[in-house]
Amino acid sequence: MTLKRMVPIIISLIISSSSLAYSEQPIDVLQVPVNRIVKILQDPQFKNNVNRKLQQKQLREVIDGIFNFELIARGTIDRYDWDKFTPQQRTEFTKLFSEFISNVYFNKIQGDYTDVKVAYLGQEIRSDSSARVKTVVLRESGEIPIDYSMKLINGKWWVYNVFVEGPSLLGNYRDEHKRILMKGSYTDLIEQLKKKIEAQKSKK
Amino acid sequence: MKKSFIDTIVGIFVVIGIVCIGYLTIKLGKMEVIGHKHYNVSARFQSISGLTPGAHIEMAGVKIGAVDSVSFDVERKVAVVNMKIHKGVTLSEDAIASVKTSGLIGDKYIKLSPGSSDVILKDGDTIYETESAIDIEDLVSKYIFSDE
Repeated sequence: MTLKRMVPIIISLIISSSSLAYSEQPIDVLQVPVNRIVKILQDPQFKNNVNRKLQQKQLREVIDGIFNFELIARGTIDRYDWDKFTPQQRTEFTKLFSEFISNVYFNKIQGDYTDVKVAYLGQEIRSDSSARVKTVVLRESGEIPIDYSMKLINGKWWVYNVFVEGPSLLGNYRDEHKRILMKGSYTDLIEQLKKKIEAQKSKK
Repeated sequence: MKKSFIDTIVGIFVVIGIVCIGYLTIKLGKMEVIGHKHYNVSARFQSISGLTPGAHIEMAGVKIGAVDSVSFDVERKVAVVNMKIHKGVTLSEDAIASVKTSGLIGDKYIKLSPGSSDVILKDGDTIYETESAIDIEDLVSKYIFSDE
């Protein structure tokens, strides 16, 4: 084999070995966006609910880069029901549920949580592609333990479930969606989601 | 002739008695002679507060298995619960196991929510998504000391 031929092989070997050595840790992947969220919440330009829309836009950019809404939406539907959804229904549900859950999150943290600090307690690597990161949100009124379940997809860690003081996001909505789908159909589920989103918008 | 007949009858009753005792031991002790009706999965919890071996595993309120053993992971400082699940009940890798209490002060049990992933758990696999028992005393103290 000539040296010319070997060069690309050597380069690819170096790249792959360096990427292995520098495989990002889930806790590091989470820290940057979470700290960014805290910064946005504490930004003086958004004090007293001024520029809420702009603040939401900034928050959305951050959470879109760390939360995998496709996995989250899918995780709230039982496999039996999910298999019955058509591809269009799956896309529609994912879009609506992502909007709904982001609004829930924004309504909870915007205007509040300006005095927060986040402590990162550690991570538990559960398998090659699954991890749980433990954090505590520190406020004057007390501590709130928040754990994040993360999955490695195509070399990037994504959040797909959040545990707040024990109960989880997926567990909560999975039960609720199952109840709706037992009594009604996909259309009922979508209608209820749309109603909730409307109610969220009117609240703002 | 007569004596040997009586001996045979007594022998038969003794054998029947032993079989009955064996059956009761297996049933009451919840042992399995042929252990192929279940498969094992484990789960790690931050707190199981009072969950004991033999506790029910429920899905949709129906018993689908039992807690086989409970141990403590010294390294991670968490509880490890080994569960036996009826064969035929499939669990996805994103199934959620939560420690629940029947009623306010009733027995602890594990509620499983089946999950939506296409990856199905096999014998010896682990359920990663776990919700620990909610401690009522913790909640009360939080409520008392909260300024909201």
